[in-house]
Amino acid sequence: MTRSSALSTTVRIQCHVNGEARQLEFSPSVRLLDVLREELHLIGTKEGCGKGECGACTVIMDGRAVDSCLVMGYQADGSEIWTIEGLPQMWEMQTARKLHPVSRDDHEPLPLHPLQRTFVECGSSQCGICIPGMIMSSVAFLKENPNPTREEIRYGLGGNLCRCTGYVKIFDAVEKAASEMRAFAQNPSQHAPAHQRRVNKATPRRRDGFVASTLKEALKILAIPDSPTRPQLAGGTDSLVRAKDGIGQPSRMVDISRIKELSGIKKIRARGKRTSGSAYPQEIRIGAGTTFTEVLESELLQKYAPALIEACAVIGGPQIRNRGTLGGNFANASPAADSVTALMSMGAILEIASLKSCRQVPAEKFFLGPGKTVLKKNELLVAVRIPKIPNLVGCYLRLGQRRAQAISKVDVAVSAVLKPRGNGSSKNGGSLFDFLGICYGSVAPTIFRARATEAVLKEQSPNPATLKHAKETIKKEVQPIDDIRSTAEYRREMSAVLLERALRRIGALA
Amino acid sequence: MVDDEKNQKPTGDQEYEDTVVNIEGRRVTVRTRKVPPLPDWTETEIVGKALPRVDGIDKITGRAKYTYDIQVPYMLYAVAVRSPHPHARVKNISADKALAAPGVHGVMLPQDVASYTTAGLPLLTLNPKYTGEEIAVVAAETELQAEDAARLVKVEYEELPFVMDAELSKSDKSPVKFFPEGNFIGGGFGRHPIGKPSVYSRGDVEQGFKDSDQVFEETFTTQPQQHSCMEVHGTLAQWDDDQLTVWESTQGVYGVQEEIARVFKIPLSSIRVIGTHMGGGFGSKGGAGKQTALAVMMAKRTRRPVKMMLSRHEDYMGVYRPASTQYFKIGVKNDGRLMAIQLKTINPVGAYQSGANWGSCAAMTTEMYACPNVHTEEYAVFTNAPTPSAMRGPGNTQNAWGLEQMMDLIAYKLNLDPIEVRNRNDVKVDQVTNEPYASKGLAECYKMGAEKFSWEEKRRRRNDPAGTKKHGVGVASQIWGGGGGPPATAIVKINQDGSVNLLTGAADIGTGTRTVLSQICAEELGVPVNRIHVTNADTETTPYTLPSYGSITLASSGPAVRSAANDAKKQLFDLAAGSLGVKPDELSSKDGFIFVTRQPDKRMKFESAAAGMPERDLVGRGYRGPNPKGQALNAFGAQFCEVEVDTQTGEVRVLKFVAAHDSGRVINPHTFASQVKGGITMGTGYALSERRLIDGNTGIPVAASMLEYRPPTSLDAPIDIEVYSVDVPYKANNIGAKGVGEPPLIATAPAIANAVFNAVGVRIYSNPITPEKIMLALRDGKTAKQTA
Ligand SMILES: Cc1cc2nc3c(=O)[nH]c(=O)nc-3n(C[C@H](O)[C@H](O)[C@H](O)COP(=O)(O)OP(=O)(O)OC[C@H]3O[C@@H](n4cnc5c(N)ncnc54)[C@H](O)[C@@H]3O)c2cc1C
Ligand code: FES
Ligand code: FES
Repeated sequence: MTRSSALSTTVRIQCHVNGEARQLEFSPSVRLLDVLREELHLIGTKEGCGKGECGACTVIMDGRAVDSCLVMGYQADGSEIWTIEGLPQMWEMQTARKLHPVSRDDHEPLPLHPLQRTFVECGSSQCGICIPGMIMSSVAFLKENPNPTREEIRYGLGGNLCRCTGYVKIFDAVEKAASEMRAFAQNPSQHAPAHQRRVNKATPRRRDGFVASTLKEALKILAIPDSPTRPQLAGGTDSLVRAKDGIGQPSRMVDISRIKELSGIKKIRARGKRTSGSAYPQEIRIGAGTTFTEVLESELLQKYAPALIEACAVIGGPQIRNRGTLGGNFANASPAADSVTALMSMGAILEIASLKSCRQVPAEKFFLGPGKTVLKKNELLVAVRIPKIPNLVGCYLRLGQRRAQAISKVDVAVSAVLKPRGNGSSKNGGSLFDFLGICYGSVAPTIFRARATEAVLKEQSPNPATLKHAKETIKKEVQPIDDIRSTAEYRREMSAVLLERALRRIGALA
Repeated sequence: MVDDEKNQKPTGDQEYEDTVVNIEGRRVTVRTRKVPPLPDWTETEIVGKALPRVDGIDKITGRAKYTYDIQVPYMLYAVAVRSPHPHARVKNISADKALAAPGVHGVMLPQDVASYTTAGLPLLTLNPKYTGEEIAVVAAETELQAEDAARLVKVEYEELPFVMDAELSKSDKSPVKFFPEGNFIGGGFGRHPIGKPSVYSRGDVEQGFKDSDQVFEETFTTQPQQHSCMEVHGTLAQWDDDQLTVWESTQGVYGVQEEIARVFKIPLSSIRVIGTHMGGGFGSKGGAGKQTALAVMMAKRTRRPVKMMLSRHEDYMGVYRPASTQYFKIGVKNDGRLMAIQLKTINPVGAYQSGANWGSCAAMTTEMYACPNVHTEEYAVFTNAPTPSAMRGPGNTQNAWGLEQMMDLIAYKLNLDPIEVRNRNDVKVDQVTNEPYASKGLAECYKMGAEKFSWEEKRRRRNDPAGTKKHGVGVASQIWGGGGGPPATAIVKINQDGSVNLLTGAADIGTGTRTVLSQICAEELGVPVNRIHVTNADTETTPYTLPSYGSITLASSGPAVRSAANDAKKQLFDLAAGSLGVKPDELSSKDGFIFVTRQPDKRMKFESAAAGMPERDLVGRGYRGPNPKGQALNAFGAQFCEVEVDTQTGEVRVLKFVAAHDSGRVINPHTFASQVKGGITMGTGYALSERRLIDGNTGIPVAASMLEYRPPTSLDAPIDIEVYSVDVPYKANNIGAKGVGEPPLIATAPAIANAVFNAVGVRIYSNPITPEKIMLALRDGKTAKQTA
C-alpha cells in the first residue's frame, strides 16, 4: 500500500505561521516542509536532503530552529512557526516598531530583519539556496546567545551546510547583525516586549489519531495487537530519516512528543539499591521525551550530569539537538548513541511502561545488539533515572567524521566521584574513586560499560603503571570493527587515548 | 535590431577569424566575429568596487525562485526506477501495478526511449552497467505517489559479473569486457582508440633522467569527489502544443536547448530553456542530463507538465570527479631545476565511453613548471560505476594533489624552500603550445602570499617536541584556463527613462555573474548600477553564450557586455551630441551624466538624453571578439596554509589559509573573495573528509548522503581565510579579467597535505587525509597509502 493511499483521511491542524493564525488540512504523509511550500507557497524554505543533514529547510518552531523536513505536518498542530518570509514581521513584533525601510533600487523600499540586511551587506550569499535556512538558524541562535564569539557562531550554524561560500562571510553577517540587535535591545525606549502572543502549545486533543496526548492513550494504541498505527514519533530525527529511505510510513506513526508524562527533569527520592557503587538517596528523573537541547539547558543536569551535558552538546547540529530525544536515542539502539554513553556511565535506570505494567531496567541491560533492545512491542520508554551524586565529575569525548553533523567513530563517557585528596587512601595504593563509571560507544555492537577497565582503575592507585594497565585493558575490552567510518585498529587505539584524556580532564591523573 | 548595414550583410571572411577557447582544459577552435577594440579602462568608478550582489535581496527574502521552486498547474512528478545491481540484464519488466497505483499518469520503459541517447548515454536501459542506472520512469500527481509507484514497477534482473577496481578491469583478468578492444581508452577529450592510452611527450625523458642529480618516484591517489550542489539536479518540462518550456537547474541554458533539439529533432525556436536562479553546479550541470530528456518525453506522453528533481540520494549515486592514481617519476638537478617528468595516470571513468572525457589529469604536469622532457600516459578505465562529469578544475585538481606534493617532497629532499624550488622552475611560455602567457602573476602570488602569511617566520617555527598538537605550514600553486572566449553575445537596451536592461545568456551559478556584468555595463554607460536590470539565462529572451563552466563566464560574457554597452552608449551620444552642440566622439559619460570630455561642466543627465530617443528605446549589441593570436591565457595562484595536527588522534584542523591569485582585473572584490573562500572550503573537504565510496564487494554506493559523504560544515571549514589579488595587468580582452571560479580549489588540498607533512613529518599520498591514515603513518614512521 502506498503512503498516500494508506489513509485517505486528511489531518486538520491549527497553527500560527509568520504571525498569522492558520487552519490547514492536508494528507498525513506530508512534512511540515511540504505544508509550508505547497499549501502556503512559502518557497523560501528549501529541501537540500530531506534527512536533517543540511539545514536548508530550517524554520523556527515554537522558538527553536528545526529541520522542517523532519517534522510531520500534523506535528505542527498548535505551534508557532516562522519562516524566512516572516522575518521582517517578526522583527517588527519583537521591537514593537515599524521597520526602517531599506531601499533596494532607490525605489521599492523593503523592510528587512537585521540579519537579512547584514547578509546582503556582507555579501554572504552565493547561489543562495542555503541562505534562508542559514538566516533562520542565525535568528534562533542569536535569540539564545545575543553576544556570541566567532567560535560560538561556527558552532551555532553547525547544522547548516553551504557548498558555495566557505561560511566566512556568513559569520561576518551574523556578527554584524548581533551587534546591531544588541544596540537595539540596549535602548529600551525603542524596545517594547511585544511578541508574547504565543499560541497555546500542545492542544491536548486527539487529532485524527496522529498525536497521542497522554501516556495511557499511547500505550492503548500499542496494546492493540495489529494496530495500523504505532507510537513511534518522538523527535523524528531517526524515524523520519528512515522513512525518507523508504522504511516506515509517517502516516502510520503516532506522535508521542506531546505527552506530558514523558517530559520534565526533576529530583526524586531514590527507589532502590543501585546495581553499581553505593546507593544515593536522591535521583534525577528525566522524561524520555526530553530533547538534547532541554538537557543542555537544565541547571540540575549541568550540576549533576556533566558527562551528559558534554555529550548532548556535540550531537548533530542545533536543529537535531532541538528535536532529538533521549528516549529516541535509547530506543534507536545505535552503538553510536552519544547521550546513552553518558547516561550509562552514571548508572542510569530506564523506566519502561506498558498498559498493564511498569518495569525498571538498568541502561546496561537495555541493549541486545545493534538496533535491538529489551523493549517489547507494547512498551514505551517513559523516563531515564540517574542517581544524584554529590561531587560527581564527568566528561565526554568523541572522535567523529566531522566536527558537526557527524556520527561518532569512538566515544567515551567517564563519570566519577574522586576521593578527597590526601586522606591517605590514594597515596598508599588505595582507590582514588568513590564512584567510577566508564562507557564506550561505537566500539562494540552496543554501547557498554567498561567494567574491567574500571576495576583496574578502582583497585590500584593512579600511578603511570595503573594508567598503562588500564589502557591495555580497554584495548582488550573493546570489540571494534572496520566500517565506512573508521577502522577497527584506529578505534581500538583511540579508546585508550580517549581514556587517558578523559581521566586527565576529570582530574583523576596528575 | 539596430546596427549599421555592414554587420547585417552575410558574413565575409574579413569580419571573422578563428580563435582558440580553453574550456575545462581542452582547446576548442571557434570561428568568431572580429570586434572593434575598446580602450583599456584606466580609472574605474564601478568596476573594482565591492558592491553588494544585485540579487542579494532576492536571496535573503526567500523569493528567488529556483527550478526546484517552480510550480505550474497540473504538474506531475517523475521518479526513476534504478538498478539495484552494478551490472545486470533485465529479464522481465512489468509496469502494470505501477500504472494502476493512485495518482499515476505514466510509466516509461526502456523500449519507449530506445532510439534516444543523451551525452552518449542511454536514457533508460535493459542492461544496467552501474548501481543506480535508470531503468524506468514513473510520473504521478505527487512526489510521494511517484516514489511509491516506482517501487511497484516489477523488474527481474539477471545479475552479471562486475568490476569496480580499475587495475583489475585493465588487466586480462577482468570479469567484464566493456569493449572487444579492451577495458580502457585514452583519457581526455578527442578521439582515442580503445585499448590505448593517450600520450603526450616532449624532449627525451630517459635522457632527462640521466642528466638529473636525483630522481624521485612516488604514487599518489585521489578519491572521487562529488559536487554536492545544494540544489540537486532537476528539470521541469512543459509543452504547450509544439512549444516546449524547460526550467533547468543548469550552468548553460543554450547547451540544454541544443541537446533537446538534437535528441528530439525539434527546432531551437520551439524550445525555451530558463535557468535564472540555480543552486550551484560546480561542473555537474554543464548541459542536459538524463532527467532533462526524460522529463521532456514524459511531459509529451502525459500531456502534463512534468518535474523531475533527483533526490539527494540519487544525486550522490550520480556524477562526480573521477578518482585517479598518479605514478610520478621526476628527475631534478641539485639546485632544484626539473630535468624530466614521467607521469602515468589511471582514471576510472564508469561504464560508458563518454566518461573518458574526464578521465585525464596530467595537463597540469605538462605546463606548470619549466621542464624540457615530459612524458605522460593516461588511461581512462571502464568500471561498473556511474559516469563522471566535469567538476570544478577537472583534471588539474586531481593532478595538483600529486604534482604539488612532489614539488614539496623535492624541496625537502634538496633542503630548499618549497617556494624557491617553484620559482626556479618558473616559465613564461606555455610549453605545450610554445605560446607566451598573455600575463603571468605567479611569482607575484608567491611573493604577496608569503608576505601576508609570514611564510619565512612560520616555517622557522619549531614545535614543542613533547607537545601532542603540532603546527605545520604548506604551500601549493595552481594554473588554469579561464581566458574565456566566443561565442558570447549581450544586448543592452536603454529605455526612455534612462533605465537599462541588460540581457545575457550567461548563467549565474552563484558566482555573482549578474552582479559583475551589471557593474561592467554600468561602468561603460557611466550610470549607477541600480539603473541596470539584468535578465539572464533564458533562451527566449537572452542571446547566446557558452555555459558557465571552465571559469570562462566573466572573461567571455564580460567583454560582450562592455561592447554592447559601448554600442548603446555611442547611439545615445549621437542623440546627445546635437543637444550639447558637439560631435559624438567629444562626449564621455559618468555618474549618470553625459558631458563634453574637455569641458565637463557642459553636460546633460543620462535620462534626459534617453528621453529624446525618437524610437523610445535603443538597443546596443555586443559580441565577444577573438582571443589574441599566439598567446596562452591562464590564471594562476598560490595558497599558503597552516594546520594543527593532533599526534595522538590524527585529527587535522585547518587554522589559516592565505590565497594570492592572479585573475587579472578584479571586477568585484566581494564576489572574487567569495569564490576563493568557497573554493578553499571545498578543497578542504577534498583534502580531509569527502569521498564517494562504492562497496567493492557489492558495487553499491555506501556513502550516498551528506552525513556520510561529509562536505565540510561550518566547524570544519578553515578558521581563517585571507584572499589577495596580485593585480597584474592583463590585456587579452577588453575588461582585463580572467576567471576565478575553479582556480581556488586546485591548490588547496596539496597545500594542506604539505602542511601536514611539515607538522608531523609523514606524507599522506591518498586523499582524504583521515586521522586513521595519519595514525598509521605515524606508527609506521612512514607513509600511509591505504584508504579508510
Ligand atoms: C543529521 C543527524 C545527526 C545526528 N547526529 C547524532 C549524534 O551526533 N549522536 C547521536 O547519538 N545521534 C545522532 N543522530 C541520531 C538521532 O538524532 C538520535 O538518535 C535521537 O536521539 C533520536 O531521537 P528522536 O526523538 O528524534 O527519535 P525518533 O526518530 O522520534 O524515534 C526513533 C525511534 O525510537 C523510538 N522511540 C522514541 N521515543 C521512544 C520512547 N519514549 N519509547 C519507546 N520508543 C521510542 C521510535 O519509535 C523510533 O523507532 C543524528 C541524526 C541526524 C539526522
Ligand atoms: S532538507 Fe536537509 S535538513 Fe531538511
Ligand atoms: S550559497 Fe550556495 S549553498 Fe550556500
